[in-house]
Amino acid sequence: MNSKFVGVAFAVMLVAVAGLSLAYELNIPEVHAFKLPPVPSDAKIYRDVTLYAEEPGWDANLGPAKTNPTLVFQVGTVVNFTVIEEDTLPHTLAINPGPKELSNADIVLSIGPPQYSVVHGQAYFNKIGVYTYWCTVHPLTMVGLIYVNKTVSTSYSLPKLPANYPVNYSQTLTINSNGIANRSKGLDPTLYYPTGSAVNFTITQNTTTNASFNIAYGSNVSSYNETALNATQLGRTPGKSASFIAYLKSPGEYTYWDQYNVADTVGHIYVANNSLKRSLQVTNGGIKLSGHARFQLPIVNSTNAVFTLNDSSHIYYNFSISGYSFETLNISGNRSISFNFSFIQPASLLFNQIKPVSHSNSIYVYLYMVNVSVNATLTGYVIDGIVNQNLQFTQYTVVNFTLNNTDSLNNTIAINPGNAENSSSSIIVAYTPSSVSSASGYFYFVEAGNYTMWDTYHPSSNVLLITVISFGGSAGSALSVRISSIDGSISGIQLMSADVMSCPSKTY
Amino acid sequence: MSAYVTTLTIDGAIVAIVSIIIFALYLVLNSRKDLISKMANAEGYDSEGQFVRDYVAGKPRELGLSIFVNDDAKSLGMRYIVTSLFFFFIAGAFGLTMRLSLTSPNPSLLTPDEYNVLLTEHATLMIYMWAVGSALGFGYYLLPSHLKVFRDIRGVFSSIGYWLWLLGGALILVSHSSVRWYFYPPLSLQLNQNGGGLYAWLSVLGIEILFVGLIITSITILFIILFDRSPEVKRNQFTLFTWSIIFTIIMILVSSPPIMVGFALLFYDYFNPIFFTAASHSVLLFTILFWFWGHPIVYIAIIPYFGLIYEIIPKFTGKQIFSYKSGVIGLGLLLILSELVWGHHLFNSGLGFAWVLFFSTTSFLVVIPSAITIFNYIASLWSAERIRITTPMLFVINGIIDFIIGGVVGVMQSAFPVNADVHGTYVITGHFHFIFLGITTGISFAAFYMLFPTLSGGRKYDVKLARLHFYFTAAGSMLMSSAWLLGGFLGMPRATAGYFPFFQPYQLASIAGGFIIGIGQIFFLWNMGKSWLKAPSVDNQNCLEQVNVISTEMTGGAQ
Ligand code: HEM
Ligand SMILES: [Cu+2]
Repeated sequence: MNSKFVGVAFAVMLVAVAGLSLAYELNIPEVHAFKLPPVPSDAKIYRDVTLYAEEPGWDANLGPAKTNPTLVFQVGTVVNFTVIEEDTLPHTLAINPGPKELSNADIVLSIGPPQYSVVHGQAYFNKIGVYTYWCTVHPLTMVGLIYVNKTVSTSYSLPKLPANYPVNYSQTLTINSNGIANRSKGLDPTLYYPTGSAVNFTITQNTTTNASFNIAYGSNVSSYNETALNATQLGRTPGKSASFIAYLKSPGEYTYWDQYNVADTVGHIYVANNSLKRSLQVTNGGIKLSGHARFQLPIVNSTNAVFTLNDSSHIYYNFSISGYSFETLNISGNRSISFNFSFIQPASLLFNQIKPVSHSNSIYVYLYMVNVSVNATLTGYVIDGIVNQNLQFTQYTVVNFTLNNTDSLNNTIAINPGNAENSSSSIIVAYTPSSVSSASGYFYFVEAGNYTMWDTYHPSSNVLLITVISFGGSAGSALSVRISSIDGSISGIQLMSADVMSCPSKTY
Repeated sequence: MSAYVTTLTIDGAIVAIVSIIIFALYLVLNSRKDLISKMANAEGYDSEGQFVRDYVAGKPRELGLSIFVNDDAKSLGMRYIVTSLFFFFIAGAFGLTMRLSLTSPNPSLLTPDEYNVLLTEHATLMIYMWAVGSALGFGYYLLPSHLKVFRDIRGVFSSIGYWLWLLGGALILVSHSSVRWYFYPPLSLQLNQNGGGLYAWLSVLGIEILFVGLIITSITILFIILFDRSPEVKRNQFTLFTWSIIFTIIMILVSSPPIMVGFALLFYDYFNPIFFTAASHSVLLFTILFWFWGHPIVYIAIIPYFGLIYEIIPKFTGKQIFSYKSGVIGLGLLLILSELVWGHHLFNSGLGFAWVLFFSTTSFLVVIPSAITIFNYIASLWSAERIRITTPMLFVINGIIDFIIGGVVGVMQSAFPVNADVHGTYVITGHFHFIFLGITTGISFAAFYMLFPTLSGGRKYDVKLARLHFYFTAAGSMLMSSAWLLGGFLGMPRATAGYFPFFQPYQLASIAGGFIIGIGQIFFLWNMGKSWLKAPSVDNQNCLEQVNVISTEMTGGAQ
């Protein structure tokens, strides 16, 4: 074994083994890769679906509206997709099972420039369930749901109200040219009801054009919907009104709109099982905070101590949490990081110590984003019909207050820590002069404790207490926090930059 | 769910098949042992060990396939040395690829998932297969000579240890794991397949197997030292390298049981999550089990090399080491103290202030033995009349410098307020790369060069290429680690596939450094090929195997 080629062989083998290992390692297996089943030759049901592909969203029609329509098929349907390029960007039509995007989706077709080019693709759905269709290039905007049901009708209808069922809510809405409005809740208000509610909607026409009131299950305008009130019922005479009782039997998100003015009138109805505190519910799209970069704002389920951050950003934070945590977590894009907190002793978690790399700006994390609509009246703040109702939030909640001027006077919302008005430390989050109908502002409740919310013009009548409970756990309890990528489930901890300029917001 | 079960079944079958193949291989090797014992009988030997020793063992080993079938200690040593070198090149290729991908702030070449996989594999393989493997290799190779062992009877255990270690490393390599080298749950339990986590459990199994091999090997080496050495070698005549191996072994045996239990529980959690879950209140427990081992392992990766430095220096100064006693004390204290500092990896994890203070203090105390050792080297060099600046000597001097830099940064980050800022940044990466490249890697190469005449059957290595290898490795690692330190102090987060553009200069500098190191290794490979092609020209002795040889008239001596 004293061959003179040992050295060469050794060197070559070192390089070869290293190279092979590298090639192997870069080949990450995707064992669960999803494939739609092949189209059988004896398929009986065919459907044609045309989608326009544009970066802001999928749509059934050419034009600015981007509705990401919910598609409903009967099981066993072969769908002939026709995708039309609308914006000259590359797009894909990817489909995977489940209600969210998964990176192992089946890519049905790809499309790109020139504009208005057309690509066809087929998908066969032989299993009942929810699927997600999306564009792998624009997963945040171009995403919609496919329901595959045992049977399917071409329209959706709310379940029938059982006989003698009490109508527990009524809701009055007016159709205006700029949207559906409620006097106290504003334009396209988000509505909340407990599961099983029967809501009597009274819709009043305030335009001279055709109008309708449509409802669909899901978070989007859908071609499968119930036309609760149609153009004949609503007429074209301002002041004409019609009623419709909606039986909200199943929990979940519903969408309502006027099919003649989809661009302006889209609102949501949330139906929840338990009496979730109304104020803790957050809409899927989130609320734009003026002047602040907003990262992915997902759903927060406040009853469940599992939070998930949707970080598809490829931007990297040093995520350190003092107190009870693992050590520094680097949230790198596209991967899941979960961490649990076990409480050995009672503790609250400090969530605001997110240190961005440059040390110069601060990025906050908030756990909840809440909308509160406040009517300013002479007798007090009216929230959800109750005068000076005390509020309760969890620490790390950003509350977006909308102050509606219903008394035609100057009104403000000022908030300060403590149980009483304190003019020196008060922070005005919203101000409506007598001439303006509503204004909004937000307050970030970082610290637990009591706060006083009051009207600096009417301090004795418009005042209420806000209790902020600490986010944390008692001894022996445990809390899981899961941070995951776009591939994982949505929801969760939200990152909010306090400083737009130094925040690399464009990657979001 | 059923797809998952199917995958598990298939994976399980693969593991089983691989294990069976390796077991079969082992049976073949073992039957070869019978053959040896027959031959020994025929030659009139009672013990086949003695026979092997007279015929193969103790004799210089050449590089060749026979080292994989002979079970004598020298063959095992060569086996570990060669294997670890393979893993150095594998993990090195991963490292370079990661560097390459960081040329632009947004992940370019690698997706974040791929980056995470390479990161994990790079670290895990470098530590367990390169640093540890190479140390064990020199231990097996040199100890029989240093201790003038009178028998070589532990080949079976040694070989089992080796194959288990290799099986473990191979499973880690094929696992596509992306759980970092810490395996922290719940991340290690919850990564999905697309995050390179589908086979994370396989890496847990692999590391457990590797540990079993490591334990067997450690005990075997300890037995060789205790029971097989020549009676004429008294304890105060142990070479410092022998001491360093003894301390390393003690460290392995003391520190690994908790994490082996930890890995076993973690493995169980893949199938029935009950241990490291929030509900059990013990998620943080794993980090403690891990670092109780995790800090000692970083010292396991240097103490043997400290020992080697003690052996190398006299060969080129022509003088005994400055102080034998302080050498032993220094290494021994390193052993004791490094069992007590593991908490400095968890400063930011809510240990509580008292513990932070404790671990901070013990970390500061590590300076004492480190300084004893370093000053011993410096004094040995200082008091030498003449230092022959050979390639191995260059690696030694560079190693000392790198250790000083890395060590000083280590002390800095042991101060809690500093740590709070640098933890999670490239400062840490710079810290340990200075040490791993300067000491672990550099000294391995130094010793490899010194063994070259032996393992090549009497050939000399090409000095010019060896120098180039050294200069590129040293300069590259200096550039790479310094850039990391500087960027790290400015807050550059480590272990991420991308970064803020602000840090690009630091990344680019370290990428340049990484590639300079990579080019250096080409010279090494070139040297191997080129030097071997020449006819043998010297005798196949090397001075590293000789005890108390201080002048290097030895023909095969390094130059
Ligand atoms: C001079 C004595 C040393 C001191 C005081 C020291 C201190 C520290 C401290 C405090 C950390 C934790 C930093 C953090 O994550 O926040 C650390 C990390 C580390 N040290 Fe050292 N160290 C020393 C020597 C060494 C040596 C000799 C090695 C091995 C070659 C080493 C390898 C490492 C490694 C690999 C890490 C990073 C572990 C990881 O998080 O991946 N250190 N050191
Ligand atoms: Cu340490």
